[in-house]
Amino acid sequence: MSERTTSPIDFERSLVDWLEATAPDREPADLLGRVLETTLVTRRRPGWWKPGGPAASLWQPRQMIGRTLAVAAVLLLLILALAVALAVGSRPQEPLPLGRPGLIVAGRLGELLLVDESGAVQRRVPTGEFWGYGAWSRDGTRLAYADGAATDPFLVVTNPELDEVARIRVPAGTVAAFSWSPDGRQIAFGVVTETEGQIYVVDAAAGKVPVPITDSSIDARAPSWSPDGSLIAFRAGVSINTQALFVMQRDGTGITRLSQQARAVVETCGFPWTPDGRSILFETRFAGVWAVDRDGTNEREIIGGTMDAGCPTVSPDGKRIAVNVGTERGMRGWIVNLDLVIGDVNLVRLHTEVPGPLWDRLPAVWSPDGRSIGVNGRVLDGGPMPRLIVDPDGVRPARTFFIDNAVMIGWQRLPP
Amino acid sequence: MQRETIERAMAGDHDAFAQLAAGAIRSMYATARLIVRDDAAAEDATQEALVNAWRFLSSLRDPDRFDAWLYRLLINACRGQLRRSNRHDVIDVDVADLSRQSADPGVELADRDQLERGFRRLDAEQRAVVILHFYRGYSVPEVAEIVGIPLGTAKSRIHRATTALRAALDADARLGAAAEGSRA
Repeated sequence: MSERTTSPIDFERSLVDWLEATAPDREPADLLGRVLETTLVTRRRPGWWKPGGPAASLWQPRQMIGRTLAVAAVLLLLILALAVALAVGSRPQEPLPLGRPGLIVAGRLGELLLVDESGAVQRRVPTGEFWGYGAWSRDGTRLAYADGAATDPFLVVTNPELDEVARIRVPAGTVAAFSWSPDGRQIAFGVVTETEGQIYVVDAAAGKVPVPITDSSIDARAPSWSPDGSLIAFRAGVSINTQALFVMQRDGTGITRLSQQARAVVETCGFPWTPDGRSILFETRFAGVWAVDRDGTNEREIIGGTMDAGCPTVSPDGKRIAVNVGTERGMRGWIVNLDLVIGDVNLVRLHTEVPGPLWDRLPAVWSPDGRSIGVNGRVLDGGPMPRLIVDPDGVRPARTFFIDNAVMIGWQRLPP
Repeated sequence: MQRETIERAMAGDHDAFAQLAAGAIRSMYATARLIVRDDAAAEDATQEALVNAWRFLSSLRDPDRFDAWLYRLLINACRGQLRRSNRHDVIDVDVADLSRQSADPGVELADRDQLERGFRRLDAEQRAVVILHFYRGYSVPEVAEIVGIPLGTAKSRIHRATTALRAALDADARLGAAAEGSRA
């Protein structure tokens, strides 16, 4: 029996032939038209704008002082208008008081880790075939994660010491996106199979198999409980043109579509509510980060139009968001003042750009006191992925550590 | 001519940018399609790269490096598309690929199949350097500049990727030979 091996020259010829054979002959007919249509209405960055550069460059160059003053005056007027509008509008609920930071839950395939602010691993628990993406309850006393296999999955509830409190068998599929009810009694989660996604709500202490609260036909995913516990936001829609943000009651009734203008809603980073429960932020497919009020009004673009921005997370005081923004130098992290986002007028003020390595396309994790952010960094050349604790104000130096490439997911909130 | 068009586009001339985009979009889409192996993701990556090119064109320092810069934007966009796809596990085998391949007499059917499988096992970074080098014809230093990595890293990445692909082909050959042996 003889073995055939390809010579380098034969191999390269085969590779080039294969690449040329599999490359499409032409681009989709309307692609250039769509690009030009988009660029025609896309605001260009001025020459001094360095994509991903220090935020200070926005207001420090001397030649920009005059323009900055004019912009500031316009912003001031608009802020006043917003303040008046808010005063006469619906009254938001009081946000949860800021808490003390506890342990950070981080996950990788097959394992959940609890780490402290220095990155030291305090506890570990295996998670079977699932990623250890656990979710803390809002009071920080319970943790939920998936265990087992996609063919026989369990939802596990533990205390902060990782002692099991409940182990609930759930329907087969990929179990993910846990969201605790504010009172800590129930957990909403998604189960995704090859053909559909469904959302379940289960009592955190019960042992019976939960039943879905959504119809399989709408392909519902990524539930996110509102701060007042009355609504669950989620993504539904089978085709990409119909994927939108919805809300429903905790029993699955009263499904209402919220996003109308934004392009397809992307659920991978979840749907953070503002702490006052008024608005929900969401990422769209290639159309930036948007927000919409819980009643479907005031849908507005937060980080603009064609920018590759995603994974918004809201600070505990609701004043800022951390967001990943694609630049020509890769994915960078921006901290944006949310209070200046008014209607559909993009008045986002870049508060700071987080220095350090590139950000992975994963949500940043705010500490419960709002003084730190856990960032999942990435490197292009392979090797361990850096994790950082950064100061959103950019004052304190960042702390970098490596936790076996686990992804930081949530920060335990301890009482004030 | 090209440089003059680039400079006009850098100055904000949208017609000039349209010329540049029309000239580049076919090869950009083909490159993106080869990297991400998905029509919709390739469309989005191409559109994203061109829109970002328009947004940031005024910050381009050297008009002569426009092509490399444009492909750098494209590679970044492809990385983003692949990360999203990987999290969803929705990289599907494209039947159209196989039909296109079967018309090509230059590559054996088994090789095509193994190349496809081997290629899907490469990560985004390895796919990018292979395609830029072997399909787009960029030199290794140019690949390093486009991808934004040191020259040595580019060399080793191309080497590792081609080694993996060759291993896929050779493994197929060994399997074929073993099958013949067992039948005999």
